Amino acid sequence: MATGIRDKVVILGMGCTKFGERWDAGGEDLLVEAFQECLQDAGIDKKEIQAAWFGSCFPEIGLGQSALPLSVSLRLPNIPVTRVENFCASGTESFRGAVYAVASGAYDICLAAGMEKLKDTGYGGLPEFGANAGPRNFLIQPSITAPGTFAQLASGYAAKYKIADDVLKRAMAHVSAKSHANGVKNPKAHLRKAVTEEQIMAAPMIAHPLGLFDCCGVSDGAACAIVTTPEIARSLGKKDLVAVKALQIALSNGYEFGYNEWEVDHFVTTSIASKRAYEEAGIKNPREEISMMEVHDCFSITELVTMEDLHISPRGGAIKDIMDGFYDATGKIPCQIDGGLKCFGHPIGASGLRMLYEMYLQLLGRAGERQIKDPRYGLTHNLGGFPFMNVCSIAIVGRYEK
Amino acid sequence: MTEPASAALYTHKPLGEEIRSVAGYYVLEEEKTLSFRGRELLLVRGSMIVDSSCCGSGGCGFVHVAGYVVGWKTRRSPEGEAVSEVEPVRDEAEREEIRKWVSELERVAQVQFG
Repeated sequence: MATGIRDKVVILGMGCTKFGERWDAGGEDLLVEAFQECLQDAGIDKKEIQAAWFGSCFPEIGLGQSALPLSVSLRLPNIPVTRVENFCASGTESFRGAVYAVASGAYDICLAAGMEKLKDTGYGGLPEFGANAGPRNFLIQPSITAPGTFAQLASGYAAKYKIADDVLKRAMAHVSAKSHANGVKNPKAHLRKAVTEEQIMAAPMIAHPLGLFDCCGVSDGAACAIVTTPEIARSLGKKDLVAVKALQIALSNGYEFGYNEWEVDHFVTTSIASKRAYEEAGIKNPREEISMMEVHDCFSITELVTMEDLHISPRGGAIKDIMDGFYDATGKIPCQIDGGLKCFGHPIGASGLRMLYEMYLQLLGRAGERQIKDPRYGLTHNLGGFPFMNVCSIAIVGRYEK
Repeated sequence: MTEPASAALYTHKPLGEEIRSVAGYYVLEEEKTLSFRGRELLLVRGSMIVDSSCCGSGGCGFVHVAGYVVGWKTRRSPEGEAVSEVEPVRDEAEREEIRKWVSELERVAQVQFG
């Protein structure tokens, strides 16, 4: 009988680079930068790491295929290293691999790392998926764009709950303004600039109703974590421990893509993965028990709808919670307390670990002026793909209380 | 001061300043009023560059139509910026007519309404 991952593995140390236009550093340099902070935080020697996982999404413009780039960049001691890719969940996938390896008893100490370098490709946007997307891609998705499909989600949500255009725009503006206000306080954020809801609402459209400030950007960055068992962490002198409470991933299976029963109003995968995660973590009432969240705000509407798919806002109730400040830094469950994708951009392989880094800092009381009071559980969420076909990952971490 | 029932406030923003997001930026370049059916429409012309978005790159010229001027710079915002009273254009048919006229006149791809 499976017993889940709760409290079997703890985080020994974490590291994260400054995200941004890192013309000063190559991908290898970013990995080293994050790893040095992580290793120092863990208080161990590099040779004590027994296996590693590396998340990256675009090997053709990054460091290449296989896990060799991580092994070589960090001069790891000839240990098994595995490269993973699962769209925007790639960073969390690397964390999952390392955590499961420790939980299985196969290894004592493992490393999870993620990196992407997207700012010096010579053009804007993500690289063309091309042949890497698979032979069926251009048959089933001939001319779609990410903003276009997420704009459909916004329209579907507004239609279902009969929400006026200006009301939805104002709520999305609040989502974005809140994240920008949080990001100002984060020295590792790519963009540290507060913007008003009026400036956001006056921005030109990308795909109605999504304007310029409703869309996230690309960036350069890396993040990593070293994980072990609670017993080993204690033996190394660690007192306050951050434990993994849940790790769940759910993938679309073609149901949404049929556009039959699904009303383009929510994420099927997030709704399923979050329920499984709460059960694994022993959380009965997420609205009362979750202390903070980092969710995948690739578009403002994604964050808005995700509040309902995480079963924190009631169906059709996210706008009220957002406008009431429930998810603000001073609200009941601060969301994107580090600034989110709106301020960090999205170096895909690194984003999931960057989110966990903030939860880790907060749980240890090390988040500086962003610190929230007495957090217990932190949730991270990634969504790779489109509303109609995606990969969703959920991680919950919290204080080790045994 | 009491505004008409349908009035809104428009804060005059500085021109030529980059308003940047992580995906790109926009700049307000020119503010003007145009006569339309005997009333003065307040509009702001700008341009947007999408140069660092996850989902591609591009840009466009745009016009933001704040509305019909009811009171010109009658007050100040807390930040000291001039504030006008305007009557937003709500009627969809009227919007469409203005959209067509302004997009041709200003040679922009987007006409938005406040």
